[in-house]
Amino acid sequence: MRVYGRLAVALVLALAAVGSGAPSASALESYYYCSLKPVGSWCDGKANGTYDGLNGWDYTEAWYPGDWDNTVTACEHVINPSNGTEIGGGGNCDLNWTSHYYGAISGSYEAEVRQYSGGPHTIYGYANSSF
Amino acid sequence: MSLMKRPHSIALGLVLVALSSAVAVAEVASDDPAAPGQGVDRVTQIEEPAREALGVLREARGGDDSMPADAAAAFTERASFGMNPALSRLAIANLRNSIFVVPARGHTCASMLSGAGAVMQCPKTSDISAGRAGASTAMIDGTAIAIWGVVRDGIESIELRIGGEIQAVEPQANVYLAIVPAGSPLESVSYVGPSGRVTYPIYDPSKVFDSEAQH
Repeated sequence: MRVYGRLAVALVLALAAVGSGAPSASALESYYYCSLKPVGSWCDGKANGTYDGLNGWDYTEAWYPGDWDNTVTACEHVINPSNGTEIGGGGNCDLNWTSHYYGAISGSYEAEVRQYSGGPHTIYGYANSSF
Repeated sequence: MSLMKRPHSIALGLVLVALSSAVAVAEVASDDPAAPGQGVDRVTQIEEPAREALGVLREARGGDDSMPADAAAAFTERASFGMNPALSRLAIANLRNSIFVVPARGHTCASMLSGAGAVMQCPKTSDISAGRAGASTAMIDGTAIAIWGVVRDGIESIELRIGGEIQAVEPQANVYLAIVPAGSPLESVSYVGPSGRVTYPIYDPSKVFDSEAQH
């Protein structure tokens, strides 16, 4: 019985540990970076992101990493890729840099960034699910 | 259980804790490609160039000037460009899309409330002072597009070019806002300031499916 007791303790420890390491909506960040992205093409979280997947993103940013000479517009949105639903009513754009706080979001969404300019430009993005 | 077996179960637990911790670290590990404005000390007072350019920031702060608490907390936590929502000023009071000017370091941000959250723009204060700040566009409930921006004192009219037509918008408290139907063919925002006439393109954020995501 004492052996089973020890094993049970170890099992509880293990399960708790695995649980703490599982992806959760309160602990993820992702960075997106796309080099020389064509105008209007979305760069999503699978592009070198630190978290490659869907999540309930609370906050996102998109920005142009070059000189801010007001020639590149950065856009971002968060979308459910299975049905096209966007959170927050839709995306947003601005010259150089833009950000959006959506509130406490749950579910499976993809954050995406894109750029508009006179041609291909690098575009970066960031998403956080813990705000 | 013997004394020899006890360390095994404890060790098993510790190994699993370590493994799961490593997984967690890997998921949140930051490979930050120099997100702009990060690591900037938060401003504790409005910078003088911003006060000089924007009359709304020379006004005393009142109770209506506070952003909603959750949005203010989120932007305070991220603190891009050292922004400080505790110094915000309400520029446009609107039932659903109020706009606040939010001081930052070297930048002057503006936040439009949208749904349960808020959109933020942060042009350089020097661009605002020189009359070279552009406009944000943001979808509202999927049915309309908000076009908004910050301009310095003395800029009295903003021209929006939409579908070949010019629509004039008058700033209030250094901020302008126009709301047009979704699908409107946005073209540009233009105004005359210290740098002469400037014109910047504006884009429809709703064009979601124009192109598929490319990795």
